[in-house]
Amino acid sequence: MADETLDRTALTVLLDTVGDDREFLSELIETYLADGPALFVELRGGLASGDVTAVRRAAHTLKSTSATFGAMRLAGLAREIETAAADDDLVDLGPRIEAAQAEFDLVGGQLRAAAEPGVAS
Amino acid sequence: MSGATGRILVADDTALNRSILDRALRAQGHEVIEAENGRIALEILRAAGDPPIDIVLLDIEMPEMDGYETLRRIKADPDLRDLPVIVISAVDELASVVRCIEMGAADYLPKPFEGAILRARVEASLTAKRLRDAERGLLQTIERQRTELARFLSPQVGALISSPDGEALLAGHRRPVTAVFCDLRGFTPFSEGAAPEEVLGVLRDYHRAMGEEIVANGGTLEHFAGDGMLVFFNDPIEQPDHVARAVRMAVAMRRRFDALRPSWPERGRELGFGVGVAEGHATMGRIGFEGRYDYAAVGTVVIMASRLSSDAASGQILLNRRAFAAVQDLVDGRSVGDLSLKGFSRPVPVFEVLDLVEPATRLAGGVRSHV
Repeated sequence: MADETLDRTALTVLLDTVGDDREFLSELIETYLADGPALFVELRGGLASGDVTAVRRAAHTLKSTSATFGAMRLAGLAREIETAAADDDLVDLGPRIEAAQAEFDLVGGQLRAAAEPGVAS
Repeated sequence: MSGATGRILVADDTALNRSILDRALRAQGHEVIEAENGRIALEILRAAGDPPIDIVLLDIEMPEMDGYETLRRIKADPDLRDLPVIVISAVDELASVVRCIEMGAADYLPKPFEGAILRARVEASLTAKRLRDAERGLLQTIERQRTELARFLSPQVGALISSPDGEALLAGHRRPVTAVFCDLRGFTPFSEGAAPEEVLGVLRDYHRAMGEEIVANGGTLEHFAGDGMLVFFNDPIEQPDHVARAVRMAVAMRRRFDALRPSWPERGRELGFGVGVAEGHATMGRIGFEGRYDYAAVGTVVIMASRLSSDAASGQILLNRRAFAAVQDLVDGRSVGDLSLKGFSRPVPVFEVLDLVEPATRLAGGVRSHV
């Protein structure tokens, strides 16, 4: 499951949780995708200035929201970043952040496709 | 869809999480208020009076004030500490959940959210909250009743009725008690001859003074009728020294009576005070009928105390043999012979107490006797 870009059962659960409102689900996905770039700005900025707290917080949010939408591989990458930041270890974080960015770009397309009517149910 | 709905405060710094919870909780019929960090959540909680917030869903990782600090402050606030707090936590963060439960959180909600789990956790906490609220209301009612009862009943009986084993004691039990009956000599002619306000004034003084001595010695006032009072000891609260308490009270009552009498109007000064003290078994419990019950003592010991009081001369304290045997080391007393008491087939040995011989007095008396 951790290797999957998108775990569709998570989307089904989310749709059920918000009262089967497909339109609202699409709004949530758009909010998630729109919030992403700001999180990556924080990750990169925090890494550059050595602000471990900023990196940890941004990674924590990315992990949590990605898991909500079933973006399990991205959630896993974000957790690694969060753990490293919590351990004060910013070495090697650059490549991980870029890997997360690439995964996030991949997730975007798949999420929008999955949210089309008739797919995520 | 579900029974209980409430006002729920969602404290989470991630707008996306708040949106999902808001939508999910509203779909389940709840009212939702959002806070983006712990500080704002506390402000809302303290401002929300009526209707109050029923549950807080609390994220742990938040800027400004995180979940731990918010939880700590909620639990430290007497007005908020009973509020159920459900901690929001990812499954890989269960260590922080344990910490929050130890700090007083009611439950936790795993992330990502699932409608069914959310519903179950919220309803469980809501039910607990409703029960606690109902319980608090009930406690207030009981406290009010207890206060009211205390004004009509003796404190011991009031406390008994409110106690967990009250029903069993009220249903009836038999135990040794000391019954004390006291009344005024010459009260009937006084009440017929004196002005009503004089009669009531004398009774008021008398009841107040005697009442203070009953309370001071831990007696249970069973009833008073005009000038007559029946007090018993060793019930409902057990008192190993019940006879000594009764005799100390009788002596104190006599002293109070002697001090009061000179202040009364002329006719009142002719009144006398007599006491009967008897020890023996009695049946204690609730007697009466629907609408009017009394907590009463039934048995020969009660009749004996009443007859001894009738036979007592003014200022005299009479005891039956069992009562005298229990206190003879504590009192200066003597036998007054066998008396024929109304209702008793054979003459009864009766004793009188002249005064108390408390340890200090006894020592002083001893020294004097050597001089």
